[in-house]
Parts: sequence; C-alpha cells; structure tokens
Amino acid sequence: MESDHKSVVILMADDDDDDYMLTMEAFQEARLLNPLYRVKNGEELMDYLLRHGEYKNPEDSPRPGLILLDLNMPRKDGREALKEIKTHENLRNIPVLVLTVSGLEDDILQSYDLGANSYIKKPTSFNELVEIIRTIGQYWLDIVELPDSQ
Amino acid sequence: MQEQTDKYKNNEKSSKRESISRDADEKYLIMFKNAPEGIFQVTPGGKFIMANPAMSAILGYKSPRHLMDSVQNVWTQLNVNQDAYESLKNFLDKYEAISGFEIQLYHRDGRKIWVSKSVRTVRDEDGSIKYYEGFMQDITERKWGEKKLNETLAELEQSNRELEQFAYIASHDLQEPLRKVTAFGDCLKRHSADVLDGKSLNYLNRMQNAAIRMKQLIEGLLKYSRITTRARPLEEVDLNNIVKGILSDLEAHIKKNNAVIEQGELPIVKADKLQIKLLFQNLISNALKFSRPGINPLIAFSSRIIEGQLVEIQVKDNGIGFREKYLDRIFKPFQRLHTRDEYPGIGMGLSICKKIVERHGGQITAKSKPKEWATFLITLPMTEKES
Repeated sequence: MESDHKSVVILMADDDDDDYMLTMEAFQEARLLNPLYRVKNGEELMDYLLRHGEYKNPEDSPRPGLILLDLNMPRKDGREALKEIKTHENLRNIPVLVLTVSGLEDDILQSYDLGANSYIKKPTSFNELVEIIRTIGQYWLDIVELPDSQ
Repeated sequence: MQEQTDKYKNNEKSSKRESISRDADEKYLIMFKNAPEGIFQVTPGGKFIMANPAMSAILGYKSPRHLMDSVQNVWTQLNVNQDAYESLKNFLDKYEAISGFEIQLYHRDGRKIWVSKSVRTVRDEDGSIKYYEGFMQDITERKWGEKKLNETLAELEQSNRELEQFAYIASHDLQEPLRKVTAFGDCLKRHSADVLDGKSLNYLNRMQNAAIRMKQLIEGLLKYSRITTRARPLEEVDLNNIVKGILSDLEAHIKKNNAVIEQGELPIVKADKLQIKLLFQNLISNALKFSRPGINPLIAFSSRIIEGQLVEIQVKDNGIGFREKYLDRIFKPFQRLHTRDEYPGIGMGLSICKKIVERHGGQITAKSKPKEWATFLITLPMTEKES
C-alpha cells in the first residue's frame, strides 16, 4: 500500500547551472537516490508540469512529487510559476519548496501567501547544502505522506 | 478792529492749515515717487489711474506716463497666467484685500518676471468697485533662486536614492558568485582532501576564509543600505520595552560575560521599531565585546530631556573605550580601531547606528576615557506626548 519513496520524482526549477550541479552533488552526498529533473525557468516549469511542447512525452517529464523552486529566474520567475501551480486544480497538491538566495522578508511572506510549502535560503557552504538536502529527504520523502503522484 | 483781527487770524489759520496740508502732500508725493516698491491704482477695466516710477521701472517702462500710455489693459497685457489672475480677482472680490500674492507678469521686453503684490479693493457708496490699489515688488531673482534650489535638491535626492539602490543591488548580486566560491571550495575539499598536500590545503583554507570575510563585508554593506531602502514608517516605541527585549535575546551572552545591566528610565520615541532595536542591539553587543579583560562588563542606560524638544539617551560602559581623536572614524563604514585578531568584526556596527539615528532625525556621538569607560550619546526628537 505504501508508495515507494525512492520513486518520488523531484523537479528542480533553477536557472543557475552551478546550483544545479551543487544540488546534484548534495543529493549524492546525502544518498538521496530519487530521480532529479530540472527546468531552467518558470515557463519551462509550467510546460513540464502541463506537458506542453518538448515535455509532451510523459516518460520525459514524469509528474514530480516535490518541486524545488528558485524565485529569481529569467522570463517567468518563481513567484509567477508558484501562483500558477497553486491555483491549478491538478497541480496545487504538489508540495513546492522555495530554494532561493533571497532572504528578504517580502519574498518569504509572498511565497507563503502564494502557497509555498517551505521556504529555504540557499546556504553558503556545501556542507550546509548537504544537510538541507538530507533533511528534505528525511522529512518530505520518509516522514510525510505525499498524495499519490498519478 | 477786533473784527479785523479775527478775520486776519482766521485767514492766518486757514492758510496755516493749507500749508500744513501742502507739506503733507509733498511728503507723500516724495514717498510715492521714491518708494522702492511699485505703487499703483487700476480701474476694474484694467486701466492705470496712477503709477509711481518704481512701478514703471519694474515693468521696464521709461516713466509712469510711458507705462500708463502703453498699457491699456493691465489684466490682458501684463498677466502671464490668466488662471492666477482670475484667482487673484476672485480673492479680492471676496475678501477685499490680499498681501504677498505671487504672480508672473510680462516685462516690456517680453521677459516673464515674478512679482509679489499687495492689493485692496476700493468701492464707492453703492458698493461697486471704483478701483484697485496697492504695491508690488520684483521677486524674480528670489524665485529663480528658489527654483534652482528645488531642482538641485530634487537632483540630490534622486542621486542619493540611486546610490542606495545601487549599493543594495550590488551587494545582493555580489553574494551570488561568492557563495559559489565557498561551496565549490567545500566540494574540492571533500573530493580531494586525501590527495592534496598540507600546503595546498592551507591555500584552499585561506581562499575560503577570504571568501567568508568578503561575504561578511557584503552583508554589512547590505544591512547599511537597507536602513534607507527598506525603511518602515515611524511609530511610537517604548525604548524600555525595546531594551528589555534585547536583554532577553542576549541573556545567555550576558550571563556568560558576567555583565551587569543598569536600565534607567527610557523615553517613548517615534521610531522604526526594527531599526531602533538594531541600534540598541549594536550598542549593547559593542559594550560586551569591548569590555576590559578580567572586569565584569557594566552597561548603564539613562535618559534626560534637553532643550529644543530633544531627548538624550546615554549608554555607558566600563570597557576599553577609545581615544577621542578617533571619534569620527568609529562611525564610518568599515573603519576599525583594532586588528581582527584582537577583536573580530567588519567595522559596520557603529556606522549602522549612526545611519539609523540620522534617519530618525537625531544625532549620535560618544565620549570616552581609554581603558576606563565609553559613553554613547543619542539625541532623538521627543514625541508630542511627552512635551
């Protein structure tokens, strides 16, 4: 009955290649083996989730069980995408964790207002990032029951 | 004979009266002619009844006669802005007199000049307006000065705003690459610690420490610029509660240092709550940080009302103090009086304090006897409640 935690897809929306690389390394370091997909801006994120354009094929764009969302991205930014996800009937039950450099109170408030499930400030050191990823894995993939992805 | 004398006397009286009145007329005429201000009478139809030399000079005419012959209708020929003229006329119809009304007129050479007019309405017995009379002054130069001053002020404000915005954006964006230097340095260490020799590891550590320090500097700059870019409106704040809050936040730190706090009565001021908290937090942290080795820190708060609707708050400690010749430096960004080994930090604490106090319309200064004590003095405007 219990879903397989290891199969939960994690989707990262971040325009920064370095951060994507660091996050992948942190996943390995934290021994989080879940598949990690990536999009580079809000438009791509919505295309992915709604299976538009190049994301038409469900095998290339499996529905994520968890979204890591950067706020400041080109074209459509994280705030706009968050608003669309949380007002979309079929998408709003996917937990969204904001993962951003901004520590501005306005950004934190606005993100929760729009329905973010957590707000995490990108840490300075890699060790901290590994710790954060490990904790995300423990909490969102082991402790918490997520809605069925399908 | 008596009759004759009386008659003579009467004659003498009346001629005396005439001569007095002639003298007075002459005096007024001299005043009228030589007054530095333009004096005029104008009919409701806009024709001059009279004007003095200053009046014609202000408007660029050779003589009062020249002015009166040239200008058939004051309202239409001289007024630059018909709306201003209408509002002047409406005011006069309603209140009969006005003083210091500033309006633009055409000079004879076509220039626009600014004048300040004082005018009253003169009516005949049945209440209809006979004429307007008054005087006016050329204030063009003053107006130009004002305009220039306002423009300069606006430009200055604009460039200040831009500078603060720039500091904010720059420091925000500068953090990004720096975070990566640190993070990839971590990765390198994790990945290759066993293949790097001691010297290489030492280099790497130094690079990372420098990056961490730069991060602290940028954060300091960011905090400093936020005082104006992220300002909140002022509200009434009880400083007693603010200090109490900080002391409870710092409780562990205070206990560890065996510090004693003497909290005297503090006022209620109009302030940005978060900023005023940061101000006192910085001062308290400073007092704890710059304490004398082996002596328990003592921090005493007090306040008093001083003249000019100001309240002065004193924060006195028994720490190492500073030499007063460095007074200017301690409030400047990134200025430090000690090496990093002696006391850590980036030298932003007091400059942030200064900026906060100045944003609240106050001033901060300090006194000290080195190796004995330091007192920080903050003056802030009093709230109306207290005055």
